[in-house]
Amino acid sequence: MPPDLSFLPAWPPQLGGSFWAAVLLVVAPLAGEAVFRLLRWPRIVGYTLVGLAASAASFDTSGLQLSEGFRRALEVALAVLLFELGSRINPAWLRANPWLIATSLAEAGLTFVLVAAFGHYLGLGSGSSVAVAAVCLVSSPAVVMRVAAEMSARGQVTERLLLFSALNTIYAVVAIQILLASLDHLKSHDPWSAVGQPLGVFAASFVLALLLAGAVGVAQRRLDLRDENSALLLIGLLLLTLALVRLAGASPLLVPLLAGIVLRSRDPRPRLWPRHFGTAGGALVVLLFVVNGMAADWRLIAAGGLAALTLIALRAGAKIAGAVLFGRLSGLSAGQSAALGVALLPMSGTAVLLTASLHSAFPEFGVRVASALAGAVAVMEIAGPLATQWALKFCREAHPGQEEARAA
Amino acid sequence: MPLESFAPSRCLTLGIELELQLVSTHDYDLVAAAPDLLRILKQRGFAGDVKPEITASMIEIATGVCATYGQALEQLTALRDGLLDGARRLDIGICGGGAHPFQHWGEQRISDGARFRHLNDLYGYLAKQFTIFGQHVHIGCPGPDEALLLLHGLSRFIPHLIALSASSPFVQGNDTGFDSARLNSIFAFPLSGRAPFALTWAEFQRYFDKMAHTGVVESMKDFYWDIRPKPEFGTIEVRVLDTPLTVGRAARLAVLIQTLARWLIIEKPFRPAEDDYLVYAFNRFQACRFGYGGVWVDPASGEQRVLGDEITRLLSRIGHHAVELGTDEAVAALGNDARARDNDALWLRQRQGADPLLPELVRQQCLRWAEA
Repeated sequence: MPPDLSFLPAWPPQLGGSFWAAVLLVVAPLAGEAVFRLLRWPRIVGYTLVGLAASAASFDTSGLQLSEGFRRALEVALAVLLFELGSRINPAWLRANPWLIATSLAEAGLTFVLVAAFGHYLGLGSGSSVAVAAVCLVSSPAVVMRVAAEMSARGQVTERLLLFSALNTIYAVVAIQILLASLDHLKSHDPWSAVGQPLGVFAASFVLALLLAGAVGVAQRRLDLRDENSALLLIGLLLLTLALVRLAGASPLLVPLLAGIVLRSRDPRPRLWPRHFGTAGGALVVLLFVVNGMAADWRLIAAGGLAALTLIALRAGAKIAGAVLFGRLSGLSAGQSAALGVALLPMSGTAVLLTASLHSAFPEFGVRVASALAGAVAVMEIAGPLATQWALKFCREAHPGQEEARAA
Repeated sequence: MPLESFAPSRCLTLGIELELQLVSTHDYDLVAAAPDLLRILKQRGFAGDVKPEITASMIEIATGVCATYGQALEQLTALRDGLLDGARRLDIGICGGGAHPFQHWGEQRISDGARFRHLNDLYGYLAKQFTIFGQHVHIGCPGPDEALLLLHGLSRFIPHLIALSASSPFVQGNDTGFDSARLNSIFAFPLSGRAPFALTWAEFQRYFDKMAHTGVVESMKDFYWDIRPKPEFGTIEVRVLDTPLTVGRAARLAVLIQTLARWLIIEKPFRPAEDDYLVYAFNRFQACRFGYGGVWVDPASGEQRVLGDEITRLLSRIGHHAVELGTDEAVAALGNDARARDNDALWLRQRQGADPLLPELVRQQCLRWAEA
């Protein structure tokens, strides 16, 4: 009788999702550090490459995708970045320098129109074209925030980059809500849904943003937000808000962004919480980029082919032209204006999330959009951070000394 | 380059230069925005005299030649408002104060331009450490010998001016204990301190030629003295003042120097002597470190006084010159400050005591600078 070996673990061992997640967590920071030291590229390019490689190798990533908690953590990572971004935005600047509004509308509008026209030319329906255009006008706030933070960038181009990235996110959310509502209207012929639904989303988002801003404001007065204990509180507040966002059907992008803006305009005292709310937030941000890489399927680069490349070129041309158009009037030099356009090129995190929301609302619609977009997104996930990095270096807004010291 | 000849200028006219801080409105650290600000001012047709300084987060404004307190204040106010208009379009903050409370010198960027590059090559990290902000006051002199006499006469009152203008208690994130820590950064330069004791332009010319012969200096710009002659303007330039937190105080301090100059030129209350400088460095240190509470040693009698009391005494002595010049109101206001031991360093310390966050302090400085 063979001995009963069932008490031993199964052989070969079953490597589940948590194992691969752990491997990714080990590899991603190493890859980030490697591209930073060897190529002087932003670390997030390394994170994204690991994600792309994982999806290319068809690793069993179902563990990652299925885990509810995991996905929530990523939403929080994006919310952390958007909240940080919002709290740097000064709406009064738009009043003081109206050419900023003109520049923002020019670069976003031009991108939207050109990309939508291109979609139409490719034979996409008007709905799909508008959706692609809305997703393309976004300059990924996550990438922009990360690259600017890693370079300790400061100056006019950096500030405008952050401002326009925030505005773009708002434009895109608005455009997509209106699009979803009008498609809904076509199906149900209920006039209320076309108007009421987006208004409902915005109202709910605004109320939740006010609540979040109020809560952080109270915490800020009572606690030192620079210590780790308070950083955890901030992350907890964001998690709670995101749970409410889902209940109320509000926008998970708009709420943290608006909350940051409200907080800053309500209390001008400078806020100095740790970057990304400390170590915990920072680690989540690393994960966000790995998963972004995994979500973008590099095989679609080939499938997207010429169309994807044309999309990238059109988008780049529109953003740079839009930034240059009123650049001088808004107070930048010609070089700075063009660099601002280049810095605005990243697309990814938000683009993916926006596509996902389209996909879940209209599965057949999302798939069509995804095929046109995925290639462009995959390329821009690598090229975008490099573009922003180049632009900020070109404008000498990277902090002198620091980067070199860390890379040495 | 030989020493320029001393240009004629109207006696007791004045001109003011102020070096200002450019800060981010996000974290209130310095930001290298001078080229952006200069560009937008030019674009908007701003006519005032605005120049870059050694590092790109500094900017210098200068009045034209003023005769009266009213003119000086008016010109400074117009310069301030023009700059603020440009700054608002860039969303940057502008403030006074002799030093930024928490900037790191290593993060500063040297401005473009051959002279700035030369200074950076010559002085190394001192050039970046020179990111400090002073007020310079020019006083018109009837001739070169009178200018040197005035220069050495005013030297005695350098501590008084330091205590009244001090606005740099915080440096690199800490309270230095000094009222004016800014001047410590200047003392590091080899050609800083006092001008050589020469009472005639011929004598001064000989000194300059000898220095130029050694190759150590090329022009008057290479001397970082507390007071130096500026032959091309026909003035002497007092350089020890910290940039005050308001244009009002800057104008008051400038006309105080004008009033002192009138007193020295007209009354000739004492004959300057080389021995005056025996106590010079001591007096100046006391003023930087302790402000009004410092000890001031009278170079003539050797008597020791509390600087704040000495300032009050001095201002009452020059009272009728203030009336003649129409600066009596401004001088009286400074006298009240001296009696109350009030200066900008005190204001900064009080604000920081109420809210220790230094970026918030800089924000308050920006608000104060923009005050009417």
